[in-house]
Order: sequence, then structure tokens, then C-alpha cells
Amino acid sequence: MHALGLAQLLLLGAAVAALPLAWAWVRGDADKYRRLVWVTTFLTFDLILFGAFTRLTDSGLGCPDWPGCYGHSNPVAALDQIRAAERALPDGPVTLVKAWIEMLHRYFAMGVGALITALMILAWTGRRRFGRSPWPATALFALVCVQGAFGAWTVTLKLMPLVVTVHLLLAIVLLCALGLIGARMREATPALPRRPVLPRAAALALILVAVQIALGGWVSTNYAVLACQDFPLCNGAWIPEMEFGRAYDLTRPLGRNDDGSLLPVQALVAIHWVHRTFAWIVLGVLAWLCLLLWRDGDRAPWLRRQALTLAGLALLQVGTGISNVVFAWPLAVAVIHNGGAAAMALVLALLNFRLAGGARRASRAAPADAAA
Amino acid sequence: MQASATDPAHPPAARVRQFIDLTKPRVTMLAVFCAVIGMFLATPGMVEPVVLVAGTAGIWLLAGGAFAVNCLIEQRIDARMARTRARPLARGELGSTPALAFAIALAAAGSALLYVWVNALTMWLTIATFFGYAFIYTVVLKPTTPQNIVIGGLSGAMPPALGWAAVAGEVGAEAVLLVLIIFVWTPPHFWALALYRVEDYRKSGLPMLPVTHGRRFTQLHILLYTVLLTAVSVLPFVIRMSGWLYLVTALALGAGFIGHAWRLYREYSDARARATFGYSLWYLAALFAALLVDHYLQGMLA
Repeated sequence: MHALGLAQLLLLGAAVAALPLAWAWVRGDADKYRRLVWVTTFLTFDLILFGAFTRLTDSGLGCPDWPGCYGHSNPVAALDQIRAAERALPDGPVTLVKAWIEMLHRYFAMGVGALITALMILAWTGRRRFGRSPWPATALFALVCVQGAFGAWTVTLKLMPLVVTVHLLLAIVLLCALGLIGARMREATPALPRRPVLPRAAALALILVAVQIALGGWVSTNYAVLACQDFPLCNGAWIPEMEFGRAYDLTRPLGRNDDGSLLPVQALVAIHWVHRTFAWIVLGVLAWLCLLLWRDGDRAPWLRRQALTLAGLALLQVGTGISNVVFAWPLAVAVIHNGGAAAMALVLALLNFRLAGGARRASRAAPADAAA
Repeated sequence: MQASATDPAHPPAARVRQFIDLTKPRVTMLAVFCAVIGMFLATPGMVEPVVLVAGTAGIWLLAGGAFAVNCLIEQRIDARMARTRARPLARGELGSTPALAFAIALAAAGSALLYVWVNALTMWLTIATFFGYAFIYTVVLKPTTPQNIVIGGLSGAMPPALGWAAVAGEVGAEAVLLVLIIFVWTPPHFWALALYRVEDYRKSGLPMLPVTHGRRFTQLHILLYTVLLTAVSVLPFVIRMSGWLYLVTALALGAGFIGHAWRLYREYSDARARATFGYSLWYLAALFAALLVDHYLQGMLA
């Protein structure tokens, strides 16, 4: 126990030291700042994967309180309470493994939160040398605070689907915002073809993917993955029996109606069916966007790389999405499906940013055609 | 010149902007920020979402209303000062009647939110703060005495207690300490600004300390208040509301503030006064951040 206490203090010290260290390393150097943003983006993506792992292993209530675990900093210190809860309900929400998964997610999130705090402070102290407004990084900090609150409510409101879905969506917004802050640190943007349909198609794709991620989050947080047990038909029909009203009642607790009765299976079928049906529309628009990107690629080769990336991600999502149904929800595949969604959102956000003129707008110093 | 909603010189967007400016959005945000921190400090776990959203919105609306009333009362003074000359009422772009109606609407909506979704105590405290700022401070204290911002600072210091009451349903000793910290912080913060804006205040006719008692006297008072503030900021540790992390941060921040005040006392320059004012903003933000981080660390390490 003493060794553990010491390790805790060391970790705390490292966390406190991280801020001045980041400051000393970056010190107004725009290139290093940009690299720190990308490191944070990468870690945020990993954190989203770990969050999906936490949700899909039912570990969200592994520690039933917040911010500590039974008031302790880690599951070892709370071992007696966890063992007691495990004995009372062996298949219940609290086990030692689940408690560790939940607490690791919280530690990891604290680390990313500290990094984003550092990014905000550095954006303010280096604002003159970077030639960039510090407000996006400040908004990012506010966003991560709200995200922390939703993480807490995920626990205190006992996995209420709306809270968990918003927690997931905010994580993806955070990821995209980090990517954009990184992208606007660059001086130059690749030359752009001037065909107005391309930016519009990219914007449409981003909106549809955002909606699809919200619908998908709703499937996962309502545990509706297996409500349709076959593909492409759902329970043997193209249009199965469904109940939409209760399916999209946003304020109800997990698995129940507002009055406390159990949610009917038809509502779960509706939740599942809407996500898989909307996928066809998203897929169509993505195919169109890829085609447009490919066609303009003769003038700007980077567009072809974007087309390939998007097509690859779309295929990944279709493949993992179908696997979730026909192979009864394998954990790794479900986590990848969540990660693919986050990656798709990030790629589309960056594409939209570059098509809209990108860093040229963000930078006051760079001449308009520096990259041409 | 007649200003109407259809006047091309006053498009609806500009109109909305004028009303928003009336609420002094930046200062309002700072007050709301302090209230939200008061909410988080009032519970070891997480604030209920309904209380957080309705409490924040209610306090925001009432604070905005109070500032609108303040703008309304001070429009003639504002017009004489370079810093505030651009405010819409001072420029005569916005009539008094719509401004008053707007302020009343904000206050009514804020009160209703607090009463229905938070609790009656929070509503009454916030309304009392509203009157303390909009009338006692603006009408009575500000034009009368150089101690105006010292006494009137109480209404500016109230937000953490409002947030605390919203969550806990009462105002505990801890909440009173938070108020005390902002209360003691206000004079050195404000006087640093008044020092380098002294000509402005002289023109406005308001009896600010550098105008009535001179620069030297104000510099001394800033220094004395920073010492007092550092002592007060240790109290959360003394009553065991906060732990070591907070104590170390508060002492370091206090030393920085005293350092700024000392340099300002030794030799006056506008740049030093500006630096002191800028530091005071960071000081408060960092002190409350330390309270919050310490609060959650205690929740985990208990």
C-alpha cells in the first residue's frame, strides 16, 4: 500500500510537472506547438477507442461514484468494497476488472484534459509569435470541461443513453476540433481546384456522417446491436415491426420507458433499423464525394489520397457494422467500428477545412498563393 | 436620428448586438464562471445537470439584467469616459425604454428559472445581488464615496455563494470564504485599473480613490490589500475545505500579486499598473482553478 501511495504521488507530480514541461518545450515555437496538438489528437483518438472499450465491456459503472472509486483514487484502495459488491452480484456492474477499466479511462481522460489545458495556455502565451488567435484553443478547453461533466453524469445518472451518447459525440467533436487547431497552424495549404460542387459535397458528407454517428451512438448506448439478428434483412423482413416513439424518447433511463416499465423490443429494433437504413444514404453520398475527389485529383493529387482514405474508411465501417450483427458483436470489431466513425469524422472535418481555404484564412501573415 | 428596426443603418443583427453589449457580456461571463465553480465546490460528486444548466442560465440572465440597469443609469457618465463611450446607450443608439424592458425581461426570466428548477433561496440571493449592484452600488455608493468599490464589491463577490446555494440549498461557511476572497480581491484589482485611467475618472466626476486621495495613497492601499488577500486566501486551507495543493498555489499566486503591488508602490508607471491589473485577472482564475482541482483530488484521495 505504501508503494502504491508513493506511485500515486509520483504520478501526481508528473501530471503537475507536465504543464511547465510542455511550456518549456514549446516556448512559442509554432512547429513544436503543432506537433503537441497532433500528439494530443492522437491520444484523444486512443481515448475514444478506450471509451468504446469501457462502454462495450459494460464497465461504465465499474466504480459507481465519481470522481473517485468508492471514494478512493484506485480500485486497489477500494478493494474491500469492490469485493463485497462482486460477492453480492457476481454478474453485476461492479467487478475488479470493470473497476480498473473505468478508472483507467478516467486517468487517461485526466491526462488528455491536462494536455488540452497546456494547449490553451500555450496558445495565449505564444499568440504573437504564432500569428493565430488563442480563442479556438480556449473554446477547446471549455469543451473538454463540458466533456468531463458528461463523463461524470455517465456515472451518476447510471448510463442514461442520452448522456452516454452526448459523451461520445462530444469526444468526436473534440477530436475534430483538435485536428482543425493543428491544421490551422500550418502556413500553406495545397492548391485547390475551383469547382464549387466539391466543397458542398464534402459539407453534406460531414453533416450526414455526424447524424449517422449520433444514430450509431444511440444504438450502442441502448444496447440495440442485436435487435436485428440478420443482414441485410432485419429479423426476416426489410421493414420489421417497430416502435419509433419510444425508440427516440431522449429523456428515458437505460432500457426503460419514462414510467419505469421495460422498453419493448420493437423500440430497440427501430433504433437499430434506422442506423442501418441511414447507412445506405451516407454510403451513397460518400461514394459520390469520393468520385468527385478522384476526378479533381488530376489537378491536385492530394485529393486522390483523400478519396482513397474515405473509401477505405467507408468499407471498414460497412464491414465492421455487418460483422457486429452476424457475428454477434465481437468486442474488438465493435471497438473498431467506433474508432472508424471517429476517424471518418476527423478526415471529413479536415477535408472541409482545406476545401474552404484552410490555413490561408487562419493565417494573417501568409500570402494567399504561397502554396501554388 | 430615428433608429428603427427597418432602418438600413440599424439592421436587426446590429440591434441584437446592442442588446447583448448592454449586458456587458465579458463581465457577466466572469461572474457566471465564479458561480459555476461555487456549484462544483458545493458537492463532493457531480452537480445535477438540471441544477447546473438552470442555475447557470438563471444567474447569467439576472447578472445580465443588473448590468443593463447599470448601463441605463450610467449612460451620461459613460458618454464622458473614453473606455465606455462606445456603449450603445451612451451613444444614444438605444432608447431607455427598450433597454429597461429588456433588463426587466432578463431579470424575470432568470428569477423564474431559478425558482422552478433550482430553489427559492438561490433566487432571492441572486435578486438581492441584482439590487445590490444595480441600485445600491450604481446609484448610492459609486457617485458618493471613494469606498464605493470596496463596499459595492460585495455584490460582485456574491456569485460563488449563489452557485453554492443552488447546489447545497444553503450558504455554508465555505461559500462565505469564497465570497470573502473575491471581496478582498476587488479593491486592488479595480484600483490598478483606476490608476492608469485616472484622467478618465476625473472627467466622469466619480470619486474614485486616485482622484480623491491621489496616486500615492492608492498605490499603498493596493499593496496593503494584496497582503490581506493573501492572508484571506489561506483560510480555505485553515478550515480544511482545501488541501496542500491549494495552499501552495494560493501562496505562490499571492506572492506574485504582492510582488506586482510592491513594484507599483516603489515606482509608478502606467505599464506597471496595467501589469498589476492583468495579473489580478489571472490570479483569480488560477486561484479558483486550484480550488477546483484540489477539491476533486481530495474526492479521490480521501
